Amino acid sequence: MTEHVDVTALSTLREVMDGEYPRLLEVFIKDSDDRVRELNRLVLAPGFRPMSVDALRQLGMMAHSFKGSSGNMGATRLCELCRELEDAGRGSAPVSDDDVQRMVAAIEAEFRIVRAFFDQELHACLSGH
Amino acid sequence: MAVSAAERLTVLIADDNASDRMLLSAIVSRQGHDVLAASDGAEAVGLFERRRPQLVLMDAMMPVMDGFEAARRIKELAGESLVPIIFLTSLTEGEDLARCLDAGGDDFVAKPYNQIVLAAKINAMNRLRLLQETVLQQRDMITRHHKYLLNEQRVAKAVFDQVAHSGCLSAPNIRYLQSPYALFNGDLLLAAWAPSGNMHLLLGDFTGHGLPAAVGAMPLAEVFYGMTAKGYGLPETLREMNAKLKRILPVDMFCCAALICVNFKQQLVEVWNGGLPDAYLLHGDGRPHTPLVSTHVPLGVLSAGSFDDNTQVYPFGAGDRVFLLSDGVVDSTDESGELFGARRLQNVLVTNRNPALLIEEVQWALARFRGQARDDVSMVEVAYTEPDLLGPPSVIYTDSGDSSPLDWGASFEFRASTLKRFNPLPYLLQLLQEVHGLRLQSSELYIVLSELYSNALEHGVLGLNSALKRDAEGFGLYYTLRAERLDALQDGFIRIDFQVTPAGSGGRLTISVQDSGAGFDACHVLSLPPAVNQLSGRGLSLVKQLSDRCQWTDGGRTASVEFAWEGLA
Repeated sequence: MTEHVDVTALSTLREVMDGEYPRLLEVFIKDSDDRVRELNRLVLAPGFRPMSVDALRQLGMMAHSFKGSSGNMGATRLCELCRELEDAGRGSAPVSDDDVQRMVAAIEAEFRIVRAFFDQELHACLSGH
Repeated sequence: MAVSAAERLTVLIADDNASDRMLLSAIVSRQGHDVLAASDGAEAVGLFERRRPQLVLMDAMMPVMDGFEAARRIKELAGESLVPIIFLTSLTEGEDLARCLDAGGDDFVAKPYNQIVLAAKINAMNRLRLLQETVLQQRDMITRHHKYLLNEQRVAKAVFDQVAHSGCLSAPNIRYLQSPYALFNGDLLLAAWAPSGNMHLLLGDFTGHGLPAAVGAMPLAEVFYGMTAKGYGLPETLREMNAKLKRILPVDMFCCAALICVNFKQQLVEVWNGGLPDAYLLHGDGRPHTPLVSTHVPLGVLSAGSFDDNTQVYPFGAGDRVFLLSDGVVDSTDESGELFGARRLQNVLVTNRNPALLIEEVQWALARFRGQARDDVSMVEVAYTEPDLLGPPSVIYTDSGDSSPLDWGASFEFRASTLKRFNPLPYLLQLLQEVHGLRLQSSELYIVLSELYSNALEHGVLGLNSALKRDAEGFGLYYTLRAERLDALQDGFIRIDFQVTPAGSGGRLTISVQDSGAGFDACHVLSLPPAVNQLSGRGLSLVKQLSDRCQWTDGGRTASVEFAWEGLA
């Protein structure tokens, strides 16, 4: 699990947040759910292909934001995937629409794993663990 | 790690990520600070305006208004206070990080958040913030003090102008140049009429700058004007001024000064120079100028016993001028530090063709020589004028004259040792001025009394021959002899008698002056041609001219004069 979530970082979070730790988990899970939904919507919308520069930039900015919050939560692999999408959105190297779609799918998949872990964590806290 | 109450800050956090916002708030709260949270740039600016936090943690990329724009606006709102802005960023490109600082950010911190780094950066930024606060407070304090200082000087100048206004610097025979700031450079220029019709002029230069230099000028001016108005001569006035300054000024402060007395009627000028640069006697007949060198210690240094009030006397007639200057003239330097000096000044004096332009020519020479102007350049030029052209001297009285004595007599006898060191004329004149009706004639009274007294002293008691005063050399000899004989005087007296009696609605004053000398043939002197009589005679025709009746009895040893006045409205 450590390749998906840095448990040391998580324990620091738990210490810092103290009584607010469960709430932090809740907020992250909900926000990230929304974010992944938004990423998918953009990439799977009709008229998405061919992808415009603007749309790409928008994707990149969302990825940037997601990168930040997932990094703070210790979800290192998710953070890295978001960084890749952010770079693509910056337009420094040419990237195909297929690649973009693949990256979004990868982010969604990774998040599903991370989300499951955090759900478990949340459940453990709320039951007084 | 909690902070003490004194360091508890209000920190504004702006991040569009809810979980990041929560985490950061928790971190900063645990460090003991109060947290304000915003989720976009516009909200951040609004919160800043309302709550005025001391420090801002700003996410660079935010919707509505991004971090850079928000940072710019917050810096603007902060004005001259320093509100540190720390950018929160997971940007890694150097360009992006530089952009944070260019936008007005003071530092940046990377995501994921490290609470130790954050704490260190917050503390460092806070130190900078406090430094700026201190600087602004001190700047404001300095501005306030500067204003007080200027105000003090303004008030001092206003008071001084009241003291100095009664002078006669605007007389037609005086030309002068003085900066408006001269007072605060210690430069002082005063001129006043004496009751005798003589003109006294003082050029002074106090040590120091600002108020300390100005503050000595006021008591000095009071003494100068007071004593001159009462009819005292240069020596007494000098002694008083020196004593006053010695008493009131601190040990390291003094006043370099030159004092002159111009006697238009007798065509001479009396000079005392203590510490100022050489003044110059400029001759109207083309002779080279005579330097009036400083031969005395400045005022306020020596005690009364050591003070030397000896003056130099020179002939002073049509076309002659005295030129006095402060050391700002000769001490002016150019960029290489060379002094303007006395030689360059003398050059201007020698090459000057139009007397009216002398002061301007000195100014031009100074301007050509050095770059910037100095505030302590003071120059004054006093020219000889025919007495009739000067107009009546204005002397000021301060009492109402209600208690005026109208029927009385008084006699005085001044004997040898008193004659040596005491000038009774000012006291006698003061006494006579108690008679209100005599005040309009105080100038004539003083002249006549001075003439009779000086005749009684110099020709009567000391036995000096007025024929000596024929030329410049003779002048010098005459006054040297006068000093010697006065010093050696053992016997002799002068008696003065006043009788004031009412006459009709006015009154009559009779003055008698008697000396212990050998007497002289008054009729003979009075019959001499006027030119001879006035300069080297006993000024007898002047006495005759100014008084109502006069006669000489007792072989010329006693002179009596009368003055009358009508009743006043």
